[in-house]
Amino acid sequence: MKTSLLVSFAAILLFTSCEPEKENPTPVDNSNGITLKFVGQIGGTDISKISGVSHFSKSEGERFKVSNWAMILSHVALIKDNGDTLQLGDGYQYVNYLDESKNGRTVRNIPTGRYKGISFMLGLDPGVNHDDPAKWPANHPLNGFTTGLHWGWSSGYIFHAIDGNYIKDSVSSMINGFSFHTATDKYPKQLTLNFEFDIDNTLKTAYIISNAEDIFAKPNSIKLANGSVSHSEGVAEIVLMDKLVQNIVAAFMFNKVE
Amino acid sequence: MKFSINHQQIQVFAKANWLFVVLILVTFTSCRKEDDASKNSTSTYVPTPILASDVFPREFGIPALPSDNPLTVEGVYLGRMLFFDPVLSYDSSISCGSCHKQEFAFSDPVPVSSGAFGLKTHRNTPSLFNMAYSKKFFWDLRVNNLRDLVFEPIQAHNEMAMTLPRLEGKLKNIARYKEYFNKAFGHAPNVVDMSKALEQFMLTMVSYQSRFNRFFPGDSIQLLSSSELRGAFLFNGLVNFNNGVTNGADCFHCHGGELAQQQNLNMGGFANNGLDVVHTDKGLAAIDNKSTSLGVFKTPSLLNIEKSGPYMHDGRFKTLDEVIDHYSDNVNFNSPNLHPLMDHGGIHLNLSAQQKADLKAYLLSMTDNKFLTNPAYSNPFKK
Repeated sequence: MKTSLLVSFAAILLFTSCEPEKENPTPVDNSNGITLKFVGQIGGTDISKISGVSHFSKSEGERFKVSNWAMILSHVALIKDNGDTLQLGDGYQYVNYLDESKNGRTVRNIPTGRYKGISFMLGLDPGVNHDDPAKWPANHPLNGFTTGLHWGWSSGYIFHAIDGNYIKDSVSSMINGFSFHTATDKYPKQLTLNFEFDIDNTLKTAYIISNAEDIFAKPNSIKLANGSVSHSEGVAEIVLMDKLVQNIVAAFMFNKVE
Repeated sequence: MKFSINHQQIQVFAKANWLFVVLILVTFTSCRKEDDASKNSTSTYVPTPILASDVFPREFGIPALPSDNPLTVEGVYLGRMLFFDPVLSYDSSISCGSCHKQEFAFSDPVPVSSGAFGLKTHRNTPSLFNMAYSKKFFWDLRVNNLRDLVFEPIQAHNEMAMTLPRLEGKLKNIARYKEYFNKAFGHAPNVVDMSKALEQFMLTMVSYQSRFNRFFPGDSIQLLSSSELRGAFLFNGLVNFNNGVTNGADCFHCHGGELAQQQNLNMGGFANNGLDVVHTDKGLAAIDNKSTSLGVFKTPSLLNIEKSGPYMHDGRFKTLDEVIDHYSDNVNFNSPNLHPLMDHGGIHLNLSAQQKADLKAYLLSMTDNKFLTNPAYSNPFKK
């Protein structure tokens, strides 16, 4: 009897002693906060959820698809009920519309209360724009290697980039490329989006949507067949970029807070 | 209630039959994981840490390094030995360094390389440096970190043709590896730590001392000749046709920055550069099975490009002149998934002979002779 008890005891040891050592679980951050999520849509679909390069959509009679869409924001802040601003962290945000893990930024420990919008600058102040990009930590929004949005050279950062391919019209099957890189100290744009929301003790997500079609259509009609490349330099390219930046700014739309 | 074992209980334990003894033995031996079995943690040796700021130049910044594999003097040296040791191949005929030759920026001066048993690789051997700044490896970008990367050539039948159990067995029987695995990781030789040691060595392979890199901040123009300087403006200028002539070749979108390589994939870190209409090598599409990835390959760095020919994923171009001719005159606009910045509205760059010469001169300024001869990356078995 005793022997069988001991055998049982040893058997229990056998099946319990092999459990791996339990590591301390990653601490769960239950503090409140807000995630600013920038969603790029093409054909009404979140481009980060489309497998591979986006499908063709139509704008100004041309079919196009997007292979790259990213931007750098600064002075990102919440607007308090009294009109003061509350900068989120260091205020910088890198957005890669094509990557769901890189189109939002979470900042925690936000004072609870009512807020009436967000503000941010598309692009960077000149001092930061021409500073050394290597000084930022590897995963910082301004680390040039991380985002690929630094020109190299001394021209500073690309503030907004949208690239892809287009087909001129329904007859043509020729696929052409387009590339619009917004840069230089001419183009930083300060924006405010007004929408009321409350910050409580939970983590909120605010969604700001841009439609790719709008970037080529509202308020300025941009036909890619008439000009499909602008890097913010050169007379003709600046004329085109001026129009495009107006459209980019107009395209930001508050969607919801949840 | 206090738990204790009295004398009587000890006697009962002593009288237990053989089955009990066996079970106890099984209990205390079965919990040793396979890895643990090969990692006799007997070492109290503390490896010497290496500061990232001592490895990576200020101009490049400190990259995101793996937190679970800190650089140490012993780990890097172990990785260097492994890199150059033919024992990693099945028949002990070739090492990593057999195809990744330092004098050629750790590439191989042939279209495709010869592996164990004389078999050929499928693609051109890429150069190796500044990998700490990359997040995707191989021409088709199929691997995300260096420690996973090393297992591919080691096990590929047409490269080192090795099996991991056989490799671990070989390493365990070599005194220097017993010593250095213990020093670097506190374990007996094993393939997991082998991959981490190789990762450490490759992370430290930094090329940053070419004239191009010294010129790059833009305030050292005197370092470049007039031809190189014209090439620099051509390289970094946007395509802008004026009466059929462009003063910019727009190389920098994909090969820009201090690394001469776009790290962000969507910004030109990979591309179809218009080599073919029909892609016999699918490139990234063979990995992700997307039609949009057909003919797409990783954009290589142009640092040390003088030494890393032949060029392209299949080594089709023997010389830099052929490469420049391709981008100037021969980009195939009907190539599926041609990079958006390469079609120029269907017009070839048509660079002049002088422009081509200037561009080549600029590319040659990217050679980092200190890297190519740095003893820290050399074969430690060579006397």
